[in-house]
Amino acid sequence: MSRPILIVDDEAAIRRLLIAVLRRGGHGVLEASTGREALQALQQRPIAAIVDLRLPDLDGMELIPRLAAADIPVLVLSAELDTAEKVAALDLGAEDYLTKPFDGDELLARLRVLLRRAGPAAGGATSHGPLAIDTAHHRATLDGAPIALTPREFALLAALVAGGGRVLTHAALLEQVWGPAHRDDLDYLRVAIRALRRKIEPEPARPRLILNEPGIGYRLADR
Amino acid sequence: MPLPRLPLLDLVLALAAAGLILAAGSTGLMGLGLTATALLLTLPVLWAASRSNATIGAGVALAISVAFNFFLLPPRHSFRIDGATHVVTFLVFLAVALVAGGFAAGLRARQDEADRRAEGSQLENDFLSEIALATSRADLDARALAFLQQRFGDARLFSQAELETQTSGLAPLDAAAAAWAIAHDAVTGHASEVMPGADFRFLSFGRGSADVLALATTRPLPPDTTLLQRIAGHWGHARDHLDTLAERQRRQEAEARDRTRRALLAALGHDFRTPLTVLKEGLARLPGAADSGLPGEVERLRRLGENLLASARLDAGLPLALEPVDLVDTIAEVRGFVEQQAGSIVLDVQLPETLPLVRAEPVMLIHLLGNVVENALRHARSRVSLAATHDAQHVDLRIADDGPGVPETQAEAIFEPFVSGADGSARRATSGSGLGLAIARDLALAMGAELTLARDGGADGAEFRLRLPIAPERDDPP
Repeated sequence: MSRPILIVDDEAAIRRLLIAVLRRGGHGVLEASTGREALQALQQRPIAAIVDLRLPDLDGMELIPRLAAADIPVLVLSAELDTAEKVAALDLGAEDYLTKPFDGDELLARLRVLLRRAGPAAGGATSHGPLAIDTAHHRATLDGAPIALTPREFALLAALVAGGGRVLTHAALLEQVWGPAHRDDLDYLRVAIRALRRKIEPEPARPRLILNEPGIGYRLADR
Repeated sequence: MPLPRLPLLDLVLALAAAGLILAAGSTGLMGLGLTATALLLTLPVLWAASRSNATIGAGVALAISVAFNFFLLPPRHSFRIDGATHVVTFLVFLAVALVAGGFAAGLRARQDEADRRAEGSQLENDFLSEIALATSRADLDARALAFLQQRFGDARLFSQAELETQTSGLAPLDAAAAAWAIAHDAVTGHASEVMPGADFRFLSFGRGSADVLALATTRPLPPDTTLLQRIAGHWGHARDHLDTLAERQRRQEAEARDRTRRALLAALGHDFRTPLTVLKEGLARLPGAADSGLPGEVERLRRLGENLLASARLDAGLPLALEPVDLVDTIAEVRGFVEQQAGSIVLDVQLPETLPLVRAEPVMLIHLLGNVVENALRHARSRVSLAATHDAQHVDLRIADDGPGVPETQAEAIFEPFVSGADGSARRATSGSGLGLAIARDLALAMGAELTLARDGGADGAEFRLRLPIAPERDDPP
């Protein structure tokens, strides 16, 4: 029996919806309507958690680091128009987020990414879909064919591939590829992504591999 | 308080005392000898010098020496001096009187200086304690002015604006001195180095202050010129401090207000999006729902709700976080949600390869462009096209349809809420709420962009132009 997925949401309707979607995806489910219940449910060793940031007792933002500390990957459900809260949740250790209204199939796809990263083969993935990274030889390939990249583009693509379909915030990518002093230099990232897309997207004006998360960051399309 | 002294009275007293001593010495009363009398005579000299200054002391010393010679030194009642001994007596007496008088006067001067300083620092301390009580800038100015008025009679504040508009009521020279004090952070006016002929003394509050302190000179100002400068300086610092506090409080209040508004909007968004999620997912599982047109209706509901939320967010006056945005991403997102309603209408996107980044709030920009494209799709016959051009400052995104177009008379009205379509009436049949373009224009304004109906496009239908500011792109560091 696989370990269950913990749902933390105070709305019974959303919990029912999530239970139906997760069962369809073949997952076991644990339910919590408050932050306290969520912390109690940790004893039953859930494999991942889906958390609504608005909880009656505990701020969802407080719950995230505690779940992350217990090695439980967190998918945040957000009804926010503002992107700041999502970025803050990701910074606190959430693995990914989904904005309401979301699609059941999309939720399952995001969970797959989350669980793959949490699984034994996780950590520094070197391939994602048609993309493969050979760090030792500084080589990147698209469908087996080598791509000519600048060192910066290579570092950026490697970071995205290592993210394995998970959203990576602008600040995280900038810090990793350009260094901590460039956390806010979003124009560097935008320009580099555009260059990268011209090299790997079949139709750069309609990106399908490197997806933009408005105001938050980038992710690779699920394979 | 040692001042004011009456040197005349002191002089009279000293000379009277000298007269008595001389009378006693000359009549041999109390058996005073010549030497004892001379010694006694130094006392009035010391007295006069210590009560006045060195000049008066010296004058008294000379007068008494002459009287001593006239009345006591033989031959008496003449200015002649007989015998070397008496010459020496006279000279010694004169020297002692002058030197002692000088010392006494010096001590006096030092004592006076110390008193003045003590008085000055007392004034400064009193002023500091008074202004420390101030709770606001206005309170501070009122307290400081009252304090100075009590000490110096007339103290006033003039602002640069008053001086520039000549509404200060000051004489031209005084107004010029006041303006100079502000401009050069200096002391000007009465008895200063700049325009000393003015009636008032003007003191700056420090660099950057737009006000000046004016002290009338009907009562004497303290002779210590730096004292007044220090007082004006303290006042200026206190003003800056209170300004900083007030500014911090204003900012904190604004932040608290924004937080409350954000929380309300978040709650609103949550309350709207949560049931919509349930509805959407439930519908997706309903057999036959896909062909019922219901998913399209739910999508329309979502767009309407998002528009209302965006509108509420704009109304709340919350600042938008602008960032560099690639229009490729924006257009990809918009395509994602309009494709369903496009149906058979072709959405043709023509972007140049090298389109600069624009400066916008990325989520709001998707919203804005979504509204304009949806409007175009509603009115198009077969095609909606997106094209972009740019100059050094702007990217112009043109959204054109091949529909009936917008008559000249409606060119502005279509951006008003609840106006839609060629006849300007709300047309529910074609599903336009009439809010889309109005909110799109508000969003554009809030982001420093411009949404207009293009008249020069040459398209058959309507053409909108969205003009967005370019975001600077820097060279990537190695």
